[in-house]
This record gives sequence, structure tokens and C-alpha cells, in this order.
Amino acid sequence: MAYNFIDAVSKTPFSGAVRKVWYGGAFLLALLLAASAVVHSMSGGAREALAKEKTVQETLVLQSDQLTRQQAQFEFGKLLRQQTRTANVLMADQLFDLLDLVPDDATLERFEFNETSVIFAGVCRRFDAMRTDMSRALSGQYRIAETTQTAQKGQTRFMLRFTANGEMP
Amino acid sequence: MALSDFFARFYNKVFIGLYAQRDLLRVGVVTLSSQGEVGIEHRAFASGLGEEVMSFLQEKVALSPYNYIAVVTDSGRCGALPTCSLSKAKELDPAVGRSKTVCVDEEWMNYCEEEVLVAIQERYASLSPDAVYSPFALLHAFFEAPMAGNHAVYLLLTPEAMSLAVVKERHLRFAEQFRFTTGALVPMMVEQITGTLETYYGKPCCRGEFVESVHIVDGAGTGALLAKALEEVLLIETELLEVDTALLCAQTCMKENGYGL
Repeated sequence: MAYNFIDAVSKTPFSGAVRKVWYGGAFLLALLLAASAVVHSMSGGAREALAKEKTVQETLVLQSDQLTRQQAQFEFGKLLRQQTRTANVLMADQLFDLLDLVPDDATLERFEFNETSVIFAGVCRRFDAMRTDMSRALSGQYRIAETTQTAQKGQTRFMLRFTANGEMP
Repeated sequence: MALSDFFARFYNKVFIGLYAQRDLLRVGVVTLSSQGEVGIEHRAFASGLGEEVMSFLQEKVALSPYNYIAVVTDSGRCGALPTCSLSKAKELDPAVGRSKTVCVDEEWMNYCEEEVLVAIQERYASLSPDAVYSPFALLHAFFEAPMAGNHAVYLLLTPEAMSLAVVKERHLRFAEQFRFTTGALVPMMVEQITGTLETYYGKPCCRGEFVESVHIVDGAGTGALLAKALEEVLLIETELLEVDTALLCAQTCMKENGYGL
């Protein structure tokens, strides 16, 4: 209900001394907010830096582990290759020795060699002498397990199978 | 909601009413706490707007930023008319043309000549008054509820004037402001009231409709005698309420600002 003849001034708490109190309060609040923002920002930066450093360290550790594993794999591979080479050399020597047993007048058509047996097959003029020589030469490691021979035009077609000593014939 | 309205909830409100009676200044203060508690205080200062009253007012104003200073004038150059049409009001009283007007209830016009208002604002310039009321504003604010009822006369007595309003079912029928240059004498007041009512009864609008009661707010101290005299003359029920005019002014300000009466 309006009764007033003059223009009324709108009342507000933001006047005089009260205004100072409100403004002071608002200023303090703004200051606190700003300080809080700065602290938050700084702590955020520190947290970020720490997280970054941690990530870098973890990456370095991971890379170091990977490197160690790769090195170990490389060493192992190298060892394996050396062993294989040694084995191959040994085997080549053995094969050479075995094939050296075949006389010059024989023609070797088949040769099988593994850790338990050695098979020679072919044609030869003097089979009996070759068998005796080979049996003697291999007697330390092998013994004759099977012999087949067929006379053919002055030659003998043969098959000699040696088994390693201790193996079933 | 405006920001100031929001902040207003947390503050006490102070309503100060001023009524000048020759060299005497009456001050009424109503304080409304943020919890809704109401306190009233009224004092009279003989020195007018002297140091004492200024000190008192400054003390009250300092209680809250939500302080309101209202002045009531019982000048004979203020009044009320039963219309809100400016042209019709000017026909009823040419003084409306040089007055500020306030429409109440869409058919009740309070007016006061601008010269009077300017003089009041100059007189109280140091206090920067927030409101200036006519006695009819006080009458309406105080009797708003009863005015919705039967056909009745409402009187506000101040030491130097008498404001009369005839209201039926919230409709203002007639209003008159009387000034007393030598102080209010009851027989003179009774004579003016009866004369006014005879004029009122003679109007085409109101012929055959008699008032049923008289309600008096007495800020002058003569209300009891007047009530008794009116009962004898008019033979109708009279209600009397004694008030301090300045305090009633403060309460009107409180009501105008939405805090009840």
C-alpha cells in the first residue's frame, strides 16, 4: 500500500559504515579465495611435477629392464649359436671320420647317421674286407646290428647297420 | 528478489515517525528485529530539531541500515478525495492541480500541495526523510480492516487538526481536513462533524444512508470528550483509540514497507 508523497530512497545495507564492513568482508573473502587459488595452483604444479618425475623414473626402470632382458636373450642366443656350431663341428668331424672308413673302391649310395645308429649302403668289390675294417674302426662306439649283401656283376650290393653300444640291435 | 531485499532479512528495521506540533517535535520509533520482535518508543522534544533530537535520531538511525524516517503533516492544504481520476479530483478540489497525489485502493486519492511538501523536505533536509504522509494515510493504514465493514466515520485527532473520512465497505465517500488555529475545542469539533455529515447526507449519492459508527484515533488527548459528545448527538456507537501521532506515522511507514502494522 502506497501512502508516500515523496520519492523514497531504496534501502541497502551497503551504506556508510556498514558498507565499509561489507566491502572489507568482500575484500578479505576475495583475498582468501586468491590465496587459496594460488596455493591450489602451486600444489597442483608440484603434484604434476612429482607425477611427471615418477613417470620418467618408471619409464627408465622399464627401459632398463627391457634392456637387461634383451641383453640376456642376446647372450643366451649367442651361447646357443656357439653350442650349435661346436656340435656341428663335432658332428662334421664324426661324419668325416665315418665316411673316411669307406674304401676307395666302394660306391656309397646311402648313408644315415644319428645318435643311435649308422647305416651304410652301396656297392663294393671287397665287401668282407670293408665290413671287417669298419667294424674294427667303430668297435669303440658301435657294433654291427644288421648286414645285407647281394652279389651283382663282380660287386656286392650291401647294407650295413651299426648301432651304438648299449642300444638294442 | 533484489539483493537489498535479501540482505534486509538479516537486519533489524527502524521506522521513525515525526510530527511537528508548533515548537514541539514528537518522535515515534518502531524497531522490528530480524526475529520479528517489535519495540516501540515515543518521545517529545521541546526544542524542535535541536541537538537533543538529532542525537536521539542519529542513535536510532545507527541501529540499522534499514532505517526509515517518515513525516506526517496535518496541514489543511492536504486532503483526500473519493476518486482516483485526476480530472474529477480537480473538479472536486482545484488544489489538486498544484498537489502531489497518491491513489489508495484505486478510488481513494490522498493529495498534498507541493509547496507544503517542499517546505517539509527543506525543514527536515538534515534527516533526508523517506516519506511524507497526510493524516488520511494514517487513518487508512490504521483502520484498513474496519473500513471493509459498515458505513462509518473515521477520525484522526492531532493537537492542531482533525481528519475525517466517511467510508462504507472500503469505498471512501467523503473526506475533510479541519485545522484549529487556537487548539481543538470539543464543541467546535462536534459542530464541524455534524455539519459535515449533514452536507454528506444531502448529497445525491448518500441520501438515506446514515453512518452506523464513529471510530476515533486520538493523538490529541481530546478524544474521550469528543466520543462522549458524538454519542449523545449522533446516537451511534463510538470507538476510541488513543495513540501517539508520531508513533502512528512510524507504524504507517512500517506497513507501507510491507511489515504489517
